[in-house]
Amino acid sequence: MKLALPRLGNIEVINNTILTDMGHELVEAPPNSKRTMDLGVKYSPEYCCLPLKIALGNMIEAIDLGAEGLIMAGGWGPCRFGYYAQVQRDVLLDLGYNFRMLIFELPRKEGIRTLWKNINILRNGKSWLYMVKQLRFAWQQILLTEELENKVLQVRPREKKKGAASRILLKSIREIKQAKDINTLEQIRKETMEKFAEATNPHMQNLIRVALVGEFYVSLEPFVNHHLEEKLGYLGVEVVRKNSIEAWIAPIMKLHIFKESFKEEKDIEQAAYQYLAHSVGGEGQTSVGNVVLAHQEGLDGAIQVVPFTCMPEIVAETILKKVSEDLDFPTLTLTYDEQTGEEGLNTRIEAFIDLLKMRRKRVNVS
Amino acid sequence: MKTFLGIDVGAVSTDLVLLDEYNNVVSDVYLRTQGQPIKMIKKGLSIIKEENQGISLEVIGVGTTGSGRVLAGAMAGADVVKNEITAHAVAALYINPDVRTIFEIGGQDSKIIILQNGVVVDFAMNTICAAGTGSFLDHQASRLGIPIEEFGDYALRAQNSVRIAGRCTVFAESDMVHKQQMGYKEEEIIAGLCEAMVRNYLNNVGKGKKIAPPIFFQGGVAANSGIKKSFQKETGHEIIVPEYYRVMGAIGAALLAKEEMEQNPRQSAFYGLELVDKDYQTSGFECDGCPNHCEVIEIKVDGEIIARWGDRCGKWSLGYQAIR
Repeated sequence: MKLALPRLGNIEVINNTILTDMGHELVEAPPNSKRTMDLGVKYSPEYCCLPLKIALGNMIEAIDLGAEGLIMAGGWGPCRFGYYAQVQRDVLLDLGYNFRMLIFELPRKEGIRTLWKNINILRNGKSWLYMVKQLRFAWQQILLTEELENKVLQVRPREKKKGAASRILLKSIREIKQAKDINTLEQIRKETMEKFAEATNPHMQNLIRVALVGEFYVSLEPFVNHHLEEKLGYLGVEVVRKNSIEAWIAPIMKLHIFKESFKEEKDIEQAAYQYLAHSVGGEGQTSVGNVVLAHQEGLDGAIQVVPFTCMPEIVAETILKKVSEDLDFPTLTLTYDEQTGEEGLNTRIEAFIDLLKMRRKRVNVS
Repeated sequence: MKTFLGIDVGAVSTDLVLLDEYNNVVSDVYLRTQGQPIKMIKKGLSIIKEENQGISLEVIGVGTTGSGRVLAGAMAGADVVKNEITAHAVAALYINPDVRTIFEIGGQDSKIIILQNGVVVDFAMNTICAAGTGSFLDHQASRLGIPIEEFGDYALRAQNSVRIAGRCTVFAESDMVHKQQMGYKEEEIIAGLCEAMVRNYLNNVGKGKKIAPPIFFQGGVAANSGIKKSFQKETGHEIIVPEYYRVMGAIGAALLAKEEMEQNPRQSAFYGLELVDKDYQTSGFECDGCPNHCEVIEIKVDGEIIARWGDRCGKWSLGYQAIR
């Protein structure tokens, strides 16, 4: 079956491993663009949040390129994400598309049969051993990609030549996508780190450091957040990304090898506890916890990204006002919808960074 | 005379200020942008030139701010390009280092800036809707056939005010029409509009913020004494409207330019007051080098490209460094 995986940051690195190598014909979902947004906005229910709309637009583009099946994650819980895949499937069926939505989520009751069926479609007659091997390698690809993405956040504000860090990352992402074994990944890691070191100006010390928290998709998809990480990097700010695919998948899988991530999840909940003692769906509690942690880690401030109408993040936004006041820790909330004008966004980011710089000066003086 | 130039290009107004070395205002110009920022910057500069005929003006630093700051910076050759929140805060702090709150209401957006010990600690901006901005008042004034300059005086004359919904421009307008049909006086309706706008501002822009005195009120709408009075009533504090309230952003930009040139002394990038006689052309294209599809803008003087920006990777960037 011709299969496609919708875009999310650099998730495409696993396309070959979980699709081509499993004997499926791969349809590359195009990078998110204005066209993706137009399609998504046009066909989604109006009150839905931007991530659903963009992902839907991306699915339409993939189907137009010939995809017969779409792979989508699902979930349970008060955040609408758990029901995205079903809504998107119905919208696409209403539009007359002929395709299959392969939803992967922790099963409940009869859901286990669907999951079993979907796993078998993905397995495509290959041995279980091979499938497990591929999934494990895909996991390694994601881990390396995120490691490099995190590293680039440190390199970018210190780069000798503007754009160098992003270019190095782009090239490495392509290589990770083509890689077939762990040794190659190790080699890519080594080479990329060397290139990063070369591109870095070692004299740039004591930069402003800002945590990026908030809704998962908006924080990880540069098209949606208007390349927020890059913008901050070019303002000379080191971004500390608090969301990751690793931290999202690992607790769901609840496997022994992910023990470390489990601990992180506990720490975040613990940090949020005083302000928000239980989950409000999505990343609501996580956002609160991550801001408290960012303060403990000595960062200068935090930026929360929110898709317009996202309930969990709106809850977090309101609570963050109190957190910010209690801890004397500046936070900025950026709300994203389909607007493309960037001036208002730039103004807020720049003013926020000025604010953080002025605070540092004041602290140095007193 | 050694001077610093500040340019604030907003959606509705383009303001220019020339400061001397001792931060005295030599000239200040307030123009309506009318969608033609380049033309208005040139016009502003020629007014400044005319006002100071016979005096040799040496501009040793230029700062730009406002939503058109990048374009203005590229065109004039700015030494510093800053967002308007910082610019407004810097200007207010210069006048009163103890200022705690700044209400800034411009044509298309409104801001609140909270300061502590001379440092910005929090801010908020509205851009979702224009209900709490100058454009809203402009619109209602023209509906009522009253010049916007007299709007505030009408409000002050009112004995009572009519309650008008302030959450949304559209609701406010239909509410206003309804109250007119009921026979309320113009003055009372205008006073009601001012109160509605202040309520809207404090609820939306000032949401959850601690408003402490001294409070500065700046931006074009500060000319409106009716709004000032409503702010006083709602907050219970005195509202200070600084002398140069209309051009505070430009003053801030000039002060920032001065600070920059003191910290990193160098020759200003300013193209000189002669730029008013030059022919500027801007154009843009979409780069298709990668999926980002950046919108690249370039600006030409007499056919020669002087600056290019808007690309994320730096492939096209050209000209001076102050712009992104």
